[in-house]
Amino acid sequence: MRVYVEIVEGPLPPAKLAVGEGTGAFVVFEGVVRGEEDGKKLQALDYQVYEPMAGKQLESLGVAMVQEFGVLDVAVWHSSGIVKVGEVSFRLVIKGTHRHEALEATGEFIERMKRDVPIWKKPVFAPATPGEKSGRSIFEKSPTAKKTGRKATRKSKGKPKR
Amino acid sequence: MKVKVLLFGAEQKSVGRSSVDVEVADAPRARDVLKALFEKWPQLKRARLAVNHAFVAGDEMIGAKDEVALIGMVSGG
Repeated sequence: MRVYVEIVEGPLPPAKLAVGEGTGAFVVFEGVVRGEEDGKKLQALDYQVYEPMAGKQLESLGVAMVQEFGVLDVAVWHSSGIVKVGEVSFRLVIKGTHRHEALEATGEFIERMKRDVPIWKKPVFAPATPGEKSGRSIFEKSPTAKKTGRKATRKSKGKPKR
Repeated sequence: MKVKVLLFGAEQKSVGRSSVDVEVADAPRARDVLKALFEKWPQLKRARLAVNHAFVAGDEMIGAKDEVALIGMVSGG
């Protein structure tokens, strides 16, 4: 079993993924920044990540998916900082022997992440044009929210389960 | 003793700071810190407490060197 977690500054680059032997189901979910929120045109989302806790929580979620659903591997990447419309801010890759557990684990991981992982997004709205609603950010950056370009990588030490 | 509590997201916006200090009796538990927080900032009541990067129950002891954070509604993904 292997669980991999990485917090990335800015948008996620295109994925380079290897399926590997023993995998019968390979699920890739990507979260993309939409162009509008609450009817207002969006430029980007600005992600605030409480990095040490978010990394631990994501890793725990990955381990839980392996234990509860029997999937083989879980890998997750999440952005910190600014991600523009159309760019990828979240990627979850789950490998399983069969599709049922891989798909179930994918949905459950995302549900739990949205409940328990300390990541917040604030909208960065496009300048309002006549007749449109304008928008503003809802909170300020925290000094603990890293924006240094550093990658925080967490890898479990377990061997891949086959 | 004084406990520093980190704030994020809507809680940070609501209080206007990225952290606050609360005064509690020595050897506090998580519930004591929450009580002190909520008395001063009632708008934070829906948030949970995390100590050293994990959510904790109300009876969790808090030490002087622990990292304490208030985690409100999250919105990752």
